[in-house]
Amino acid sequence: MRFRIFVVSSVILFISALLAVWVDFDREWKHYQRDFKKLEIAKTLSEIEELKKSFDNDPEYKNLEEELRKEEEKINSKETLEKQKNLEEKIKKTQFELYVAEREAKFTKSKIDALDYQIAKQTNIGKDVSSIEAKKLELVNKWEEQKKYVQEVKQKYDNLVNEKNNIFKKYKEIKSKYEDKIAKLDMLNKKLDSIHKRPIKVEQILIPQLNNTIDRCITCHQAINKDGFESKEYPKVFQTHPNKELYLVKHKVEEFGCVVCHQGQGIATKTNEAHGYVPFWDKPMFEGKQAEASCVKCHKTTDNIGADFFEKGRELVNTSNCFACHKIDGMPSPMKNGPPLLQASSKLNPGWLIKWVENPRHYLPKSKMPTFPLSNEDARAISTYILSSSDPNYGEKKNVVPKPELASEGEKVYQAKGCASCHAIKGVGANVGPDLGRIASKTNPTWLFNWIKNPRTYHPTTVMPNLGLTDQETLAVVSYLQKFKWDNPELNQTLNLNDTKSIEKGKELIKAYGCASCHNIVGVEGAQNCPNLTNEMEKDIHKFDFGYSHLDPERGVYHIRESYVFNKIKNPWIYNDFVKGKMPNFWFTDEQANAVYTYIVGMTTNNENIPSRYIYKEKNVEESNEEVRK
Amino acid sequence: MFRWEFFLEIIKKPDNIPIILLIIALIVYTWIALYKAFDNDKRLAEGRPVWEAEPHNQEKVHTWPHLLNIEFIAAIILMAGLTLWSVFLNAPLEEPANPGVTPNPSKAPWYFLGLQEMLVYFDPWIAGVLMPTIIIIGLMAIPYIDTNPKGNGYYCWKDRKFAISVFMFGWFLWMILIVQGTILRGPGWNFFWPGEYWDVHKVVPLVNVNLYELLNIDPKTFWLIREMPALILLGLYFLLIPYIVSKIYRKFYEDLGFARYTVTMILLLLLMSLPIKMILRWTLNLKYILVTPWFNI
Repeated sequence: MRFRIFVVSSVILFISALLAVWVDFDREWKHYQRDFKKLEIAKTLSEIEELKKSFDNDPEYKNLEEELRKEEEKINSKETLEKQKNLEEKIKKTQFELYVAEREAKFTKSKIDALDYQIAKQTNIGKDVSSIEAKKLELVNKWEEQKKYVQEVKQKYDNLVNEKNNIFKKYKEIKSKYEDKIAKLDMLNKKLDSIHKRPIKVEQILIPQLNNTIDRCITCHQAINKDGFESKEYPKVFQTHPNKELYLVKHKVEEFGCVVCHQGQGIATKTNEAHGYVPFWDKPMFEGKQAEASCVKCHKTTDNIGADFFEKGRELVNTSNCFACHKIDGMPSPMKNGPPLLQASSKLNPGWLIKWVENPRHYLPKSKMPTFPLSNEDARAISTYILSSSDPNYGEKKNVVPKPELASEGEKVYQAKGCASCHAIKGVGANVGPDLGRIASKTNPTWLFNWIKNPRTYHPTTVMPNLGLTDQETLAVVSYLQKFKWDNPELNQTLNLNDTKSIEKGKELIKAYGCASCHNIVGVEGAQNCPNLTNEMEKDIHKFDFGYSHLDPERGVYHIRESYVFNKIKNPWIYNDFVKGKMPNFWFTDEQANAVYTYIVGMTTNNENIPSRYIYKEKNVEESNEEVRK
Repeated sequence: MFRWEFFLEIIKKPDNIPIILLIIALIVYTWIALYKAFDNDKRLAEGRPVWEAEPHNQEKVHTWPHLLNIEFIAAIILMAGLTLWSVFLNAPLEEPANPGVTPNPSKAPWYFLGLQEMLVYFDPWIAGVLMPTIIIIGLMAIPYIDTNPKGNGYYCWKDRKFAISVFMFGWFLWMILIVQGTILRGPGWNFFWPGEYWDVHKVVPLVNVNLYELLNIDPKTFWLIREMPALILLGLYFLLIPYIVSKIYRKFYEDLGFARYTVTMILLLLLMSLPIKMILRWTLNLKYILVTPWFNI
């Protein structure tokens, strides 16, 4: 019994050990490395094949090969070999002769030196040195002769060596030419050899000076810094980095690594851990062009650095006027880009205003004004406040009555004065000003007349020019525009402008939703109640209002700042299940939302942890001036 | 409402697997121990020798090979188990450490979860310092207060009913607190039923009151007067109960003698105070019985 247990448990231990080995062998990154090895070997082999084929069709290569063969034959012929052997023997002999001659000469010189010493010593103590000097003279003569002899032997030796080299001279020449010709092939073969020998191992980039970065991305992305894998035919993981010259050569890989731009978990060696959502991993990977958010970590300005997606985001943020509500410390607050509502009651039809406040897109699908999460009741209250507080007496001319008979003339004026170059009608035309396809239901002829006569009297900063129309022309245009009505029964809603409760509520709502950030509104000053976005990406995760949706991959909700910010841009009401958020929906497309996200993330990431040597400095101005003067 | 996915999510956490194994081991070993105890009872009743006294259990054998090969097999099984465990379960990544934001729930290591659970019902000073000290001293005192000579060298239930039941009670109480702290205590150290979603937003009404509040005594009264009912209650608990017990179980008292009896009763009453306090909390929302300026009970 005990023996059986022993056998069974030993087998289990053996199997579990094998399993451990298999699990290690089966690791994802090892598969990638083996696959890439195969891919690279196949690629190199095909290159070798191609090169060999090109040699087959190359007459120069064939000539060289032929000559080389002939020379080799010559060298290996019996005659040459014998000659070579003879010469080598002679050289050996002469070498020994030379050795003896040089030795004798050296010995003589040595004796002379010893005599010199004797002479100096005897002279010093005042003795006669003539006998020694005679002896020295004799030796010097002998030395001269010996030196001459050494020269002779050396000459003889050199001649012999030259003679021997001459036999191989031509062979060597051709051989080196041939080797030059096949150098590339040789290199490819060596490369193939090194690929075969390359071990499967975790590869990483270590950058101690950049916050101790350890990036193991290259463990799988083996070709990211290799030329020749640019083609989209290769699997994405094995492609060369797009625009490598800019991203990996100007920003040396060894100095920057990967995650400083792309974020993600650089030390992970599993795809979903490195790329995807990992609980508590603070910096998830940017997808694609979102990585441009990292440019501003080191570049103070993004002019001409190729961060086009980031710039697109900046443009969208400016047109959407995000910073009217959300401040970033150090950035100037933008202008109010909505029309002033100080005289709104002279302009707007109450039914239309309610519909507009509820959702501007119902009237104008391309409206710049975002949609706020307001109920019909809220919209009525806001409309009541705006209409009751604003000045109804706008314009010099009162009580304009449109004349239907002028409509056709009006259309001509409309075309001739270029109204259509800014305003579309029912979706047809330019999109600078609002679409006028439903204008008659929005406003009244009196306001329209005064507006066309001189827009700046109503909206001092409007882009609409004063076209200098006569009263007659203006009236004609107004009459023409009367036929563009919005056929919507809800426009018949009426408001009681004396309902103080409603007015009060409307004012509170206007304050709460920050309407005055974009519009001039009577009695409400620049509401600022939105989160300040400075260092938003460094804010404590617990301070974000996720509502009940902390983790819901189906809706793209993850418990990280990046996910929160993106969702707030794309679909601000996603977290409204707990506390009703006030942020309006700008109806961004996925790409627009991504661009805005890239810009916001870039602008609100704290880059204090980037070492100063990484901060990009414009080329020293004085220095470049110096160069120009030269 | 029981939902399997939420239940499994908690059970499957790499941190919680050892606790699941602990539950199984607890049941198995307790069963084995009690089975053997009852088996010996039966043997004694029938007049047979106890299991430990059977001839084949009295026989002496060599350590090698008899013991060592069992140990060797145990080592093999343990190695295989640890290898498989490390292959299939990875250590989880948790939040970056931040002294300003502690993780929620903040849980002690599993062996301290009983203490952490006690903190819910007692003053930190009592649950964290006094009680652990008394537990250790009490365990050390067992050989001196339990002088029952029966059962030396063998194990049976009938001769040691009191000792075994008290030990079993304390043992299960402690283990249940550990299991509860692992599986049933979620964010905010709130109680969650098995299969309930661990919602960080869960709000539990905080309506605990002290004894004097239950008795409608003005909190601003001088504390000694305010706490009179509590002092009387505690006095009755620690003095009257031992007295009554000594009268009812006269033999038990006489066997132990006054000093041993007193120590035993104090330790027993302290042990019982935990479940009593727990029940009072669940039924009466009682926070503290005695509130003094220095400590609370």
